[in-house]
Amino acid sequence: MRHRLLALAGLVALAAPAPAAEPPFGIWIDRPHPGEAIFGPQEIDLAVESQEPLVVEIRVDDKLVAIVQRRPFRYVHDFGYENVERVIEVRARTGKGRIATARVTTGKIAIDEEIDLRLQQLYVTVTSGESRVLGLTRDDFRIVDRGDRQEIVTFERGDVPLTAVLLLDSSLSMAGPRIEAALRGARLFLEGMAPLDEARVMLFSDRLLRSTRFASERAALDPVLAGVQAAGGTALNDYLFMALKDLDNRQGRRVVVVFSDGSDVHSVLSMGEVLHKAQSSPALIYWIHLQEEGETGGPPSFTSSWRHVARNREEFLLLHQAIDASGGRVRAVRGLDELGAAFVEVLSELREQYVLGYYPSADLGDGTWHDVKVRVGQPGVTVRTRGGYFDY
Amino acid sequence: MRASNQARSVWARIVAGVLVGGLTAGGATAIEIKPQQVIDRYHRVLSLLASGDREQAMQALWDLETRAIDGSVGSSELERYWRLKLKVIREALLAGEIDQLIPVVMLHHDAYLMYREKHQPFLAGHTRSMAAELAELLAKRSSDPQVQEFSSWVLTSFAVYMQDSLSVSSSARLLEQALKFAPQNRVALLALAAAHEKFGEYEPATRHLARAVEMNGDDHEARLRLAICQRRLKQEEAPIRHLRRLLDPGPPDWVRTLAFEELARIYRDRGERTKAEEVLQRGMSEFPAGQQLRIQAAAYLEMDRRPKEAAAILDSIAPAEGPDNSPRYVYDRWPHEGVEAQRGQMRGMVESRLGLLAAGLRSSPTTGVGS
Repeated sequence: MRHRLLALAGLVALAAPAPAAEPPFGIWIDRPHPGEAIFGPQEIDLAVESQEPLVVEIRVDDKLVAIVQRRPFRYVHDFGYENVERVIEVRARTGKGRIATARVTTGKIAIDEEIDLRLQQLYVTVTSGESRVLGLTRDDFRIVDRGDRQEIVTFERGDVPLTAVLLLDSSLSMAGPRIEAALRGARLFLEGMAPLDEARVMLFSDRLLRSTRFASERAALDPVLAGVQAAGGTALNDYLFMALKDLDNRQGRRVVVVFSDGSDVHSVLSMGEVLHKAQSSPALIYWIHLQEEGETGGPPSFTSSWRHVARNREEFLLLHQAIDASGGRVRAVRGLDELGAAFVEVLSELREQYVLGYYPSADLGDGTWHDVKVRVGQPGVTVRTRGGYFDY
Repeated sequence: MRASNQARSVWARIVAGVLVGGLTAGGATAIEIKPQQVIDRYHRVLSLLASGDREQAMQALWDLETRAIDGSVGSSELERYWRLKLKVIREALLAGEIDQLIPVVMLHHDAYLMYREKHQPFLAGHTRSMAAELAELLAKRSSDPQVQEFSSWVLTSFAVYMQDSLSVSSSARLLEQALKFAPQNRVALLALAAAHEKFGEYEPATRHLARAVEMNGDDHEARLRLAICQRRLKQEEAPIRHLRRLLDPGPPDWVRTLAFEELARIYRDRGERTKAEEVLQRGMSEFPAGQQLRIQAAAYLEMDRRPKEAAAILDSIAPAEGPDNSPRYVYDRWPHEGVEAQRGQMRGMVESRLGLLAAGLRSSPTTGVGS
């Protein structure tokens, strides 16, 4: 991400007026670029045009940090991890007293990008049997990122505001009591939100049927949910992608809660394409899966013009993979009367998660996948969190 | 999914039906009425039909069948009941022309819908089997191409209903049979191809679709389905050629929308990202309400690490208005418009054959026995 804000290299060359006969002389800051957000150890790379020996002073935020006298004119400075603009000034002086200066002001990244781009945050649920384990401390956790143990720099529990997209299947199979129960469940979820939480509700079938804005009050969302008629097919992949994408620019803990009684049939996107997004998104995915009596929750056996049975099974397994990769889970519901409790349960689980933050020791910014494991030093517990991330 | 012989010979049933004239429904049976009553009442059903009172005929059939059989009858009782009805038909046929079966087949075709609507799956299955077998008999015994077409349409119509009920393989068997009677039955070709498609059998699907396109180069739906199946067979040039023909105005909007989506996917899979993007841009400009086009375009941009452009496209998606379904949903349905047209033609053939049926029934030995 540090490379994302690439801008044209700025340069300021304020060479002192020189007699016409004198050779050219100037200094430029090649890196960092103006407006680029910089953190940690970064190289300050200078370009100098001079045939004379010279001394270059480098200042960061008005403080002298280095004097360089030899080519290449480079210096690695630790800028720290504060998300602030930095002013880098360089001053070159020749033995004959000629002076040239250059100056670059770096940028800072938008606050909503900060959390996921540099500080990696993991939302961790720890369970023992059916119960969540709540009394753990920072020292109980160990994070391993690409095989390297990481230092946990932030540790919180539960009180990080959340932003949710409730993605409700409104296809024909949901007609009647099912859609009514889904809407009741969604309302319970919205009622349970804390003041700083926000949610948006999207109702979909093979099309996006209704969509609210993000809001923290249920009253703002209610009118949109009234009078919904379930109809049409199911394009879960498409609207899951849309929901994940929608959360990209939100802050803090993000979650997509899907409520559906079945798998995808009509999407233009394959689940493989959505999986990529799920892996690169910080959002958790929960699927409240309404199952028929006798249904095991295993892969489906239906067919459609878009996918035959084997492909539908692949899609189903990839959906589970995406959910697991996100750190969320499937909550099976076998009767409409369980539905409200399921929405409330998901909200409680989100509230009781541990939030661990760390700065990855190997952050290459090259889009490679970082496999992440979180372990808890207690026997008999299960730890659930996202499986990793792409370090864009 | 091979063409199958219908399990039992209808003609053999009819012959056998004559032989069971004196059969009684002895032993434990769900048939509550005596065999002769079945014969008489079914004769009355057909007489009402022949007189042009279709509604009364349907009502009389309902009264008979709901009393005579239900889901608890065993196969032997059902077979006996079936033969009693066939006896009436057989006797009428002995005295008349084969074409008189057309109104009878149509009656059972429509009874199938009635039973479905009234949630009588057992009766629906029974009457459908009877109509389908009579239709096959009709096709085999008649040399009139129009009658053979009629039979083909009946089988196609049932196949489409069965497809709606997700009985894909049974439906495919009917369609194979329908195509034997009328190889040019476009609806059956498309429906059979779609059945193969649902099983992932893209080779036979492309064969049927290619035939449909060959029959009519302006069959846009067949061309689209052909291109999609070819793409799944990893072909590139042929589907690109077909899809490009569907982009310009002319084909239905749902066909054009899917042509944009599918063409973009082929280009994308070939690594031709710019072409894919251009196709989707054009699709989005021509179909501003096309949600899937936008989602596809956004997903590709996201994969290309252009997240802001992707977000801007998704932001432009407005919730759908009106009752229309997405093109992808329409594609997943059978070609209903064609089926409805065929059903209309089927009904149109009934009227002129009612007199034949009436004559046949008048000459039949069961006439007047309790009817």
